Amino acid sequence: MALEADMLKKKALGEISKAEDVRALETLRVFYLGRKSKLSEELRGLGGLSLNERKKNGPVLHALRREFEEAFLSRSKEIGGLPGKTKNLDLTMPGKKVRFGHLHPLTKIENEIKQIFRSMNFSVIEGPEVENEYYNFDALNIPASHPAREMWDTFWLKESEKNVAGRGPQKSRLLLRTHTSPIQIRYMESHKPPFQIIVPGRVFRYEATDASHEINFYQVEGLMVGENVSVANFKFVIEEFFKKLFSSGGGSVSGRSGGVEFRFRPSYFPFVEPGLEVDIKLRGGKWLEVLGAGMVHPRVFEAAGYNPRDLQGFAFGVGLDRLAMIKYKVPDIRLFYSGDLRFIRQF
Amino acid sequence: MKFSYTFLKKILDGVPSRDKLIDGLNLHSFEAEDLGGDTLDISITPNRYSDAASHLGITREIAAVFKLKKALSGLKSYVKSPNNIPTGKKLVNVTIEDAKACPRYAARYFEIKSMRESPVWLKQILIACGLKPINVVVDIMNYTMLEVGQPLHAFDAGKLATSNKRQATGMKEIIIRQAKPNETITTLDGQNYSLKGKNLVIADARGPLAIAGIKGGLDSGIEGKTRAIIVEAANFDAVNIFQTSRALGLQTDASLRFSHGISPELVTLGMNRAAELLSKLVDAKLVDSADVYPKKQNQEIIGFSVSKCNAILGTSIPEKKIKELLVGLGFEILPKKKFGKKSGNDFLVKVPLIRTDVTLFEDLVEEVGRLYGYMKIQAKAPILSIIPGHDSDEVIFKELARTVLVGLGFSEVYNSTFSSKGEVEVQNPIVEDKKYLRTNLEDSIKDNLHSNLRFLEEVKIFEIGKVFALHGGKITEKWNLTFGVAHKKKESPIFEVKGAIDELLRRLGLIDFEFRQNDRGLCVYSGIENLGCVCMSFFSKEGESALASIDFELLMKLTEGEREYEPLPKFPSIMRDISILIGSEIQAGEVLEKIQSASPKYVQDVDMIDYFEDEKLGDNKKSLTFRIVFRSDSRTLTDAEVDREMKKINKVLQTELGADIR
Repeated sequence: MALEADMLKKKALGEISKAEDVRALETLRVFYLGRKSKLSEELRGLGGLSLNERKKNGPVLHALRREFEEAFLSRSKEIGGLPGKTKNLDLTMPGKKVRFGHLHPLTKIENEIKQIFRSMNFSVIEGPEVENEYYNFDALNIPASHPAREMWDTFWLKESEKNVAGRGPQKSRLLLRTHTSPIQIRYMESHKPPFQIIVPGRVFRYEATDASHEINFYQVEGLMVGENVSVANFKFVIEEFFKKLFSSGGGSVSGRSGGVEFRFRPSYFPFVEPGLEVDIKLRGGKWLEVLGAGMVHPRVFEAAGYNPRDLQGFAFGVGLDRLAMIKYKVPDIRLFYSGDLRFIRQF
Repeated sequence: MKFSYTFLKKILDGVPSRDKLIDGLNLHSFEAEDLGGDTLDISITPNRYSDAASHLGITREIAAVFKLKKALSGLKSYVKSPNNIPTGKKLVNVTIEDAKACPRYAARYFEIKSMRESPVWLKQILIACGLKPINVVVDIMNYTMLEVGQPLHAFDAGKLATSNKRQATGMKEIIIRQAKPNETITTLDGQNYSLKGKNLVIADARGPLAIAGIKGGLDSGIEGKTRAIIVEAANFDAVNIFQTSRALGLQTDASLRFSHGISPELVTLGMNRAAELLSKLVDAKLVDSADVYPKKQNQEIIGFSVSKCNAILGTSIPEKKIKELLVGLGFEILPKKKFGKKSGNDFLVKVPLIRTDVTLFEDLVEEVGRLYGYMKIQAKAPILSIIPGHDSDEVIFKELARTVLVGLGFSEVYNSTFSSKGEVEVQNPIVEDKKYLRTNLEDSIKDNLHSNLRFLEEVKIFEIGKVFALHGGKITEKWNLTFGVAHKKKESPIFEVKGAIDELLRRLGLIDFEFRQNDRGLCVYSGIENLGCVCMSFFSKEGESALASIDFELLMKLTEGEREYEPLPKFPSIMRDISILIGSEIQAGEVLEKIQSASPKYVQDVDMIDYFEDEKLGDNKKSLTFRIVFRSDSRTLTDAEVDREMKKINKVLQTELGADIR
């Protein structure tokens, strides 16, 4: 018996130490420790033996089992398998899907923009989507019945007569803001310069929708006011902004590794003087207008209760959707508002 | 606006090649584009219609941008003034009844021997600019407008009524007045228009001949047999023409120019040029004229400070260079002493009358800036005072909420603000089913859940957006947060939504809240404030979904106080599990509440850790297991104390809920 056990032990331990993978080890485990194994049979047979024999063989067999078990365990650890439960576990199977959600691409680009401007010490402010005519137009030097107002096709809101009457002499009608610029006035009314802010938000235009027009879309307004804020400062801030935004190789934008090409040219907006526009060069050489800007018009400062003699400032407005379309090469603005996860999960 | 490259070259010597021209205009004047053929598209900004909505105007820009100094002086005398203008010959008389709406009206009476076809070069220019050649007189009117920017109109003098008192002489009477009630007019293109009080008309003694500044009438139109014409060059109030043009839905090349406001001085230029061409092309003979111009346009003179100009631009352009740039654009520099001393100014600038857009010093700074070139201005880092930025609360809070929801596996969608139902109505909806502003985000999130489930096994989405309501007639807007889960599995996703609310609110810093079931479903409360509700599971053929809507602004308000540091616990806690058997009609939430209230001092947290219903438990019974955490902030609790608390809890559960403690 002792000799047999010794031989079994030698053979088993040798084979176990040579097992190359979990499966081979498992086969050996069944052979040496399984229900039908020789050892198990002997152990089961103990009950039928005399007390003397039991006393003699029992400890040997139990010791053998312990030794086998330990050998399996340590070999199993060596080859990276799991003890006991490794049966049929295919570790090449894909992991269970644990998904992070996806931010909307417009949120993503808004976050990037906020980050860039925060790094230049701008504060992020928001304003109401329902505005009145005064903040949206009049205070921004866009008089009623002026064709310039046609640059902003407007959604007007229905109001009860009582409500309009209660508003006093100016009777400023309510509308959906056509741009984020009203916040210029609102912010200046309650803050003292110097300051610099950006204002992201949803804006509305009454126009037919197509691949590049939506009736609701996003803008980011910028405003910096101080004693000596200049066009040269505006150029610096905007160049930094575009360089950083497109530094990671920007979608449809021309130029290599952050070398975005843009141009500053004259334009007209009633609330700035001088007025400028910024174009970005797309691959293929076409210029695309992305940002309207200028130096805050003296009449806008006056409307906000500032003395235009003491202050200078620049303001700009940039279309978020259009930037996102360039940066992520999105062909149709309507995709942003489709709620289609097949689109959103790409970002 | 369409321009003919040939026409520009005809007016100005030295016009550069198309590419160069377009580049130069883009960088210094207006957005310009080559449309092919002879046509350029130049976007005249709304403030520049007075001086630049013409080929002469654009050549002035070109001369300034490309520094063609000699050419510029030529442009100033481009249109010759005739030596002799017969007037007072009793053939035409002009009466302005509304001087505010019509600051100037000039009329000239010509006799013509015969009508001819317009020459080919003239027709080609009209076509390149998008106009249709009609007959030589009308073509000259249009050509002159394209050339100098003054809209013109020609009446067949023979078709005009002579007023009764003037019948003896046959004098034609032209009256500029507001339309009379129920007046109508048929325009040259055969369309009928009913006019209203504020619409300005050009009339004879009989009735309207033209809608002022917009379009001529059919009855007085030029024909092949026309032998006498009255040419109109006039100036009209921008707002009046703009409103009439809008009200009638009629926009013409003339109305476009008048709507933007042009200088009454253009009248002289336009009339003289038309006269020149009429004489040249149809041998027209000028026999009488009238020019009613009661109040001359003001001459703007603006003080100019070189240092302030450079401060605004962030440049150091020398005074000499600034003057050169301004002179290049037709501005005159007047020495300061001649006009007396104005404080801070280095010199005075006399603005050309047609530059109606220049009234402020800043307008001149723009002229200097754009002509100098914005590309040439060196970017300079602004000098900032170190005042820390201060984002508004909603900005930070939205960012936080988005981060948490994305972490919980939700993806973000944006939906339209417009809806087919709601409380706030749009006056001018773009389509009938977008007539209202949305009152909630749920409707669109529901749609999103369903439509995405066609392609995906599981959908988890959220939106943060403004919703709109009427409160006592007042429009209010509020931030709302809605998120939902849909999947094709059998069990309801409602607990996933409920669990997400729980985690979201905690992450956003709200600790004091609970779920209550009421007639609106399962709702979240903090004290008495209702933060929102979970919309119970609903089915579609694609699968099952659930969503929750949270009043984001209320949440922001409630967490304000709670976003403070709480000291870490100093003393250890003790945990006990309790299993109870209760009637299946009793809700888990109720049990949780009872446990909390039975031992309010020491219970820190209660979690339900096990739940099952089984026939073996007896009819209508269920088994619930809770883990209760006890802790005191002032000392270490003893086992004996916790045992006492457990007894209290057991008693409450037994007596109040009829629970069997297992």
